[in-house]
Amino acid sequence: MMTAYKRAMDRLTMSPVARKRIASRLRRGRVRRRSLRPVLIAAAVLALALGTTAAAGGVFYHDIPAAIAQLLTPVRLSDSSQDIALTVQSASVEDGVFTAYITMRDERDSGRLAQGVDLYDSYRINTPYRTDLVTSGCTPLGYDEASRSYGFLIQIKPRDGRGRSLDFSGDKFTFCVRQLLLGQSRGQAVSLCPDWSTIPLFPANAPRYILGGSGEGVDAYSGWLSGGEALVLRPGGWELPVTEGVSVSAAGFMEDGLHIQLRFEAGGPDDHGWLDIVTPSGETVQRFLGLSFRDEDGVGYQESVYDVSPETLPGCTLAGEFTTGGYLLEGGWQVTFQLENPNRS
Amino acid sequence: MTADELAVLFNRYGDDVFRFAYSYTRHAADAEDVCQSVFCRLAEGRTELEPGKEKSWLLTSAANACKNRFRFLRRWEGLPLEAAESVPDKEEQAVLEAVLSLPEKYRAPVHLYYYEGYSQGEIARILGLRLTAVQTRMQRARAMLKEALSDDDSI
Repeated sequence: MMTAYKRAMDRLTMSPVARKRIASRLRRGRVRRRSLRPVLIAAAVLALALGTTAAAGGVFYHDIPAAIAQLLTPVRLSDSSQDIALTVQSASVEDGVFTAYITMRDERDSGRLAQGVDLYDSYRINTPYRTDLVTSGCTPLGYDEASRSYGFLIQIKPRDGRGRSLDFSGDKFTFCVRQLLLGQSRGQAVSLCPDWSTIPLFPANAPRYILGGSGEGVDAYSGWLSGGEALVLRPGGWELPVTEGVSVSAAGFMEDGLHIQLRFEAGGPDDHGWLDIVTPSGETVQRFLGLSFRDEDGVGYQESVYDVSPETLPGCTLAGEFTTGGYLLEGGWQVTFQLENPNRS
Repeated sequence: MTADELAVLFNRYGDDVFRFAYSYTRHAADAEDVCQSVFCRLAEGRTELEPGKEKSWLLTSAANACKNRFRFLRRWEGLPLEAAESVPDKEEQAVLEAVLSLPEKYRAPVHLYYYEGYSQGEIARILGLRLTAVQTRMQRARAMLKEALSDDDSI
């Protein structure tokens, strides 16, 4: 069939007039053209390196990196709500970084914290500084059976208006939490062997209001529409159970790659997870774009886009990890304390 | 590059560039303009062609020129397929019409693959696309051609 295309194309040639015109222009020699100077925009990246030098002490129920642990000074201030005690065990100020080791202990001994605790972005660290100049992070340290406590490491970095670190010795800090997300099924690993031969090349799509996007391809996604909407797969056509409360609700090739849509029906406050494509040689292809949205019934969806082609899929598997379920425990925990910088002269 | 060298290149590859541009634009006059702009750009002397890779450079330059023109001239999509209408052979006419009726983004890879004989990797380099994007476009184009040409197994 395609030899017919070649034969048909061979019949096509430039018109003699155009050929003569172009040949004539080229014969005149070098064509002069006003050049535009390219404008180069340079971007600078500032990397912040945190150093630690001093030594201190404290009681640790959880694994804390030694470089951090040696700096921590005992604080041991607590607040209790819903029979769960929040304790700031120890803290440090070093090189403009404030670090606090925090535990949450179930005073009922009901095992509520054993499945894990998520502060659900409801924690706040109140400082005397402008909030837009403070960056903070919270690292879960896991559950310690002996102390029946769940640990966290909080780090904050206040900066002045020019990005310089501040000496905040003697300042007061207030750590408060409003909600805990408990009882989630975490880290459910999945490995799937789908029948790729049935993946649609022209899947049905529909506009959806996008709640959040992530990944390197989020701005370049060709399916963006106006008003915060984007074209995503219409659920159905290619489905696959993934784990309890999670399924692949659609998949197919759109302009920018393979779209795989996950439906989260577990109804947890923060159901999430990811799937990677694993090639027969063991290479992992991660999504380069993720879009989140909900349907009319409030069911959450996550659509991921992968840079793969149909012919590379046979033999590939899907692997990932999911966190689903759980419930929110409302409360109010608040601890205020003061720290002195041991290095301050 | 001297005028003589340019003339040799134009005689050798002028029609290939024109056909590629035609597969993109589906309009002879526009394809001729693209062809002219590609060779004139070469004549500006700002590009040193790598020996043996002249044709792929010319096709890449043609693809860019087509994309730039396409951005401003949306008219291409609605044009009648004048070339297909003038082909005397029925089979050739049907195939040419099917290929030229594909959406714009599929026509260039199909032309480069089936007419020029480039591999998908080479097409990716010429068109400035990811290999997977070319592979996906080829798969989708084949499916569309198969449907248009009544399940022709030779696609």
